[in-house]
Amino acid sequence: MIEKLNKKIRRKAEKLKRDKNFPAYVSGAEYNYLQKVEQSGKIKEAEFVKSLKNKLEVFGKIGTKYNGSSVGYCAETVSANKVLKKFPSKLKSLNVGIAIRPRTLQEGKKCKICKSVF
Amino acid sequence: MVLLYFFFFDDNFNVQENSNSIDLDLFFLDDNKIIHLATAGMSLHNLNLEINPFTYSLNMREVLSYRRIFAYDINNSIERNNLTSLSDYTAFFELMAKRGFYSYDKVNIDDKEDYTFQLITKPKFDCKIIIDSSVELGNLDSSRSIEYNLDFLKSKTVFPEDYSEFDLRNFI
Repeated sequence: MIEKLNKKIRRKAEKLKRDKNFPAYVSGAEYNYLQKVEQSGKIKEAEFVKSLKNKLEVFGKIGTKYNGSSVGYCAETVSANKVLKKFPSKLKSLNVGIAIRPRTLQEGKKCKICKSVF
Repeated sequence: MVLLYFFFFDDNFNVQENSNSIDLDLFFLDDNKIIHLATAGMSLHNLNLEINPFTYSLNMREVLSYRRIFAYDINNSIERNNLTSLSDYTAFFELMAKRGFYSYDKVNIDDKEDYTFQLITKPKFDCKIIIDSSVELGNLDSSRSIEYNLDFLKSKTVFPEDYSEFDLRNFI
């Protein structure tokens, strides 16, 4: 399953590269049959799944910096939030995929927050 | 017709606050050249840069409309351990060099507060005219030129023209 998710992430990154639309990263998350691939960015307050937000805020309020990264803005987080909208209690069971920088198709490492939360 | 869906920010968009989630294109001007720089999600809040979201969007639209008239050189000593292919990596920087920009990239994309950069591509041009903030680059042999009407950021000093790595904070 994770291979399929990673393939989707690569395809999305390639499309963004063609369109010259450059978020820092694209990543994805999956639970059961549901896979979501999203780009890094801000999640609207009303859209945030509480279990995920609580876990993230161990590192600081959403939008503040932890170890150089903005808490809650990673592509992994945005994707996971979409999956958790359907399965709010499954945070521990989520799989997250690779993170790709669309401009160059480089694969990025997970930040400390993502390593801890997912 | 090719549609390009690059970022258009509205006036309320805070570029600094969102800098970790965007791979921004910044345009600088120094005494010798025009500069394109890709941020790869680098934190901007430590830097003394004023980026207007509206002019940022206009800059990108303007740049992509320029004709691609310049020959260019590519850095052939790029060392990254996370590439899918070198041509995928350099493609966008080549587009910038064809339009007359010295194009630089962030070296370590995994550390948002690392400010090490490196020149990836550079154009070959014969003449450059700067009048106020209006810039024109041209090829003397072909009489083709591009006039640049961008909202350039001003560099503190001349950006490196070789391929060695440097700390961006010393130049802006």
